[in-house]
Amino acid sequence: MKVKVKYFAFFKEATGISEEIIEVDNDKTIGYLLEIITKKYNLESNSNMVISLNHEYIKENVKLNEGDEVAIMIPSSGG
Amino acid sequence: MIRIQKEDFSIDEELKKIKNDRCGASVIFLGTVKSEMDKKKVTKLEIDAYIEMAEKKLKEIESEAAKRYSIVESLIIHRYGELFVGDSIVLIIVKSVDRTKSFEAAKYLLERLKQEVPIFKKEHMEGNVIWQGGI
Repeated sequence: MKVKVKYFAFFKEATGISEEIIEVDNDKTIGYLLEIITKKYNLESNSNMVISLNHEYIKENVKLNEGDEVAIMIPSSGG
Repeated sequence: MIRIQKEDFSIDEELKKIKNDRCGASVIFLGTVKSEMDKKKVTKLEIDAYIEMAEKKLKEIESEAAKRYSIVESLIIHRYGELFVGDSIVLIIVKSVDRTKSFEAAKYLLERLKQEVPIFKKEHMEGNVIWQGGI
């Protein structure tokens, strides 16, 4: 299945892209997707990494579905 | 009313858009780029935003504030892109019948925006460039 991944702020610079489509097997989780991404871009595991799934922040390792939109960001600092 | 935009805004023009004569007071918060951060001179800010999610989160926060503080009208604008010292970053306007609630609501909106809305600042200071958030 295909998942859209968006990168923001530090992670946009570290990966050199703002978004991409990543293909993963059915029943795979966010954790699995993050493993692929951190290896692909040689990112260090970072406690400041904030993840959203379909525009909602997530902390659990949930299963992905076809067409999901995942975003990789840093903590909010607007205002 | 929520907007995430690159362009600058005019407080007067925005006030006209949410004019409501039932409200005797408008509380306005304007955030601008300051010239110093941690005793270092700021040259500019770069703001990145996850616009779709930021709009969704701001609508949720605005709607919660409306219930909690009996807000009659409100408006939140946040800019992104490259901003320089003195430039406007964020505008919050709150109108309600009770002025005390308007002040509280403006503070509530700003604090939740800072904590929850996916907007990110990169600070360019003399000799140092950092993303706020510790990276």
